[in-house]
Amino acid sequence: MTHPKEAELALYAGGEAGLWRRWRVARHLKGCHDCRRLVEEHQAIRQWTREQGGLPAEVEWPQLAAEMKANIRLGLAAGECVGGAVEAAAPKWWRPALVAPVLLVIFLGWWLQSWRAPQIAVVSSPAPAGLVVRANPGWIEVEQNGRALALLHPEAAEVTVSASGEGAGARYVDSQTGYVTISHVYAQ
Amino acid sequence: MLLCGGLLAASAQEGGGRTGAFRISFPADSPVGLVSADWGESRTTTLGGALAVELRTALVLRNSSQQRIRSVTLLVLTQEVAPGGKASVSVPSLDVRPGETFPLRIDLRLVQPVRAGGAQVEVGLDGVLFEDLSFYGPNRLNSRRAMTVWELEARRDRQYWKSILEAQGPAGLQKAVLASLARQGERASLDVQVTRGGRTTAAGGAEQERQFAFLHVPGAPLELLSGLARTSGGEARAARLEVLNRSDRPVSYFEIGWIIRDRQGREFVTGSVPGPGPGLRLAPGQKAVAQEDASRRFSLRPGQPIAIDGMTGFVSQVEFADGSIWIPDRAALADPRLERVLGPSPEEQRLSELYRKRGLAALVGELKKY
Repeated sequence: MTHPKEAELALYAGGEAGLWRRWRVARHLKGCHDCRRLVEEHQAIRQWTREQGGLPAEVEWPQLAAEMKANIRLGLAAGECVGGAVEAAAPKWWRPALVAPVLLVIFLGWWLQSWRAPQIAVVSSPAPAGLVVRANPGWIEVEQNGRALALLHPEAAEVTVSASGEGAGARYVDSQTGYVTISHVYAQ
Repeated sequence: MLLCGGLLAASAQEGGGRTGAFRISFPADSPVGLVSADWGESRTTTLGGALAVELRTALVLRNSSQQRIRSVTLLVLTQEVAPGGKASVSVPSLDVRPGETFPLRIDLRLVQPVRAGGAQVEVGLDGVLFEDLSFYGPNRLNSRRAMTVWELEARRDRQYWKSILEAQGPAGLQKAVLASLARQGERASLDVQVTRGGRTTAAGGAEQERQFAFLHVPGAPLELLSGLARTSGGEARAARLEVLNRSDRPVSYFEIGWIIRDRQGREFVTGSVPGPGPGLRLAPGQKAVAQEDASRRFSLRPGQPIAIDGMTGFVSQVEFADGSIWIPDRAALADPRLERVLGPSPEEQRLSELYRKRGLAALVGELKKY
C-alpha cells in the first residue's frame, strides 16, 4: 500500500487539500488505520493551536527574535573579520547564502505568529452561549458548536419568519409549486 | 464540486430511498406515496474544517388514500448531525383527490465538522390531514394540531370570501383581495435570533423590565392577566405571561402571540410564546404561566437593529382537552389592528397569490371548487 505523504495528510486534516487530492486521501483513509490516526493527530494539533489563540505561552517571541538578530549580527561581524583572508578563495555569493536562511527563519517565525487558519463564518464567528436559532428571509436555522441545520426558502417573494426558544419557522408561497409552504427547524 | 454533487445525488437515488446520505421512508400503510424524487441540485462543499451539505429536492407525492388530503407534513431527521436534529416541511391548503399527485420541495443545508463523518438525513411522514379533519401519522412534531389550525383558518377564510362573492359579486371579491394584498405588503417582518442559555449579545445597553400590553381578541377562551420581559435595545428575554381560563372547558395547549413596537411606532409580530407544554390541563377558572427563558434579538432587514419601545401579547391559539381548537373568527378580525397583526392565513395567502398571478376569474373558479 502506498501511503500519502505526511504533508498531504496535514492539508487534508485542515480541509485545505484540493478536490482530487482530498478524494484520493479520503479513499485511502478508509482502509488505513495508521494514516487515519495521523490525520486525527493533525486535527487535534490544529484544534489545540486554534484554542491557544497564537503561540504557546512559554514561547517568549521578543526574546527569541532578539537572539536571532544578535546571531545574524555576530555572523556578519565574523564574516568581516575573516573576509580578507578568505575573499580570494571564496565565491562572492557566500554572504547572501549565509544570511538568507536566517532571514527565512525570521520571516517564517513572524508569519507563523500572525497567520490563522482559514475558517468559514459559521465556525469562526463568536458563538453565543448555548444553542442559537436564527430566522431571516433566506433561511431558518438551528446552530450549536459549528453544527447547523437550516431550511432554505430561496425562491419565494415574501417570507414571514418567526422564532422562539423551541425553534424557528418560515411561511411563503413557493413560486414553483404555487403552494403555501411552512417550514420549521426545532431546537429540541 | 460537481463530482461531489453527482455522487451525492447518485447515493440518494441508487438506494431507492433506502440507503445513502439521504433516505426517504414512508410507512407501508401511508396514505401518500413517493412517485419521484429529483435530487439534481444537491451538493456538498468543504471549507476549512467544515462540511456543508445542501439538499435541494423536489418530491412528487401521490394521494393513495380514499379521501381528499388537506395538508401534509414531512419530518426531516438529522439527529446525529445537527443540534435539535429535526425539521419539518408542511404544505397546507391542499385539495388533493384520491389518486392525484402533488409536488413538495425540501431545501435544507447541514453544516458540521469534517471529522464528524458523512451526513445522514432521513425524510419521513409526520402527518396527513384529511378533509374530514381525521389524521394519519406518528405526529412526533405535534403537526396534527398545527394542520388542524390551518384547515380551520382555511375554511373560515374561504367561507368569508365566498360570502363576499355571493353578496357583492366579483367586484366585491376583487376589492377584498386587493385589501388583503395591501395588508400583506404592509406587514414588515423582522429577522429574529434566539439564544438559549445566554443573552444573544454581550453588551446591549441597560436592561429593563418591561410590561406587556394586551390585545383583546373577542371570543378568546383565555384572558391575559399579566406579562413581563426584560429588554435591552433590540433584545428581549425571560418573557413571562400569565393567563386565566375563562372558558367552561379544560385547556391542553395555548399560544400567546408576541408583538413588539419600535420607537417609530411600527408593530411587528415576532412569533409566539407557547404554553407550559405537554401534560397541561388548565381547568376552567385556573391560571397558568407561559414563559420563555431564551433571549430574542430582533433586527430589521437587512440586519438593522431596532429598539424595542413596547410589547403586546394576545391569545392566538387554544386547544381544549377534548382536541377541539379555538382560533379567532372573522368577526374578531373585523378589528383592523387585529387583522393587521394576525396576518393572513395560509389559505388567504394562497388565494390572494392566485389572484395576483392568474387574475379574478381563476380566483372565482377556485372558490367554486369546494
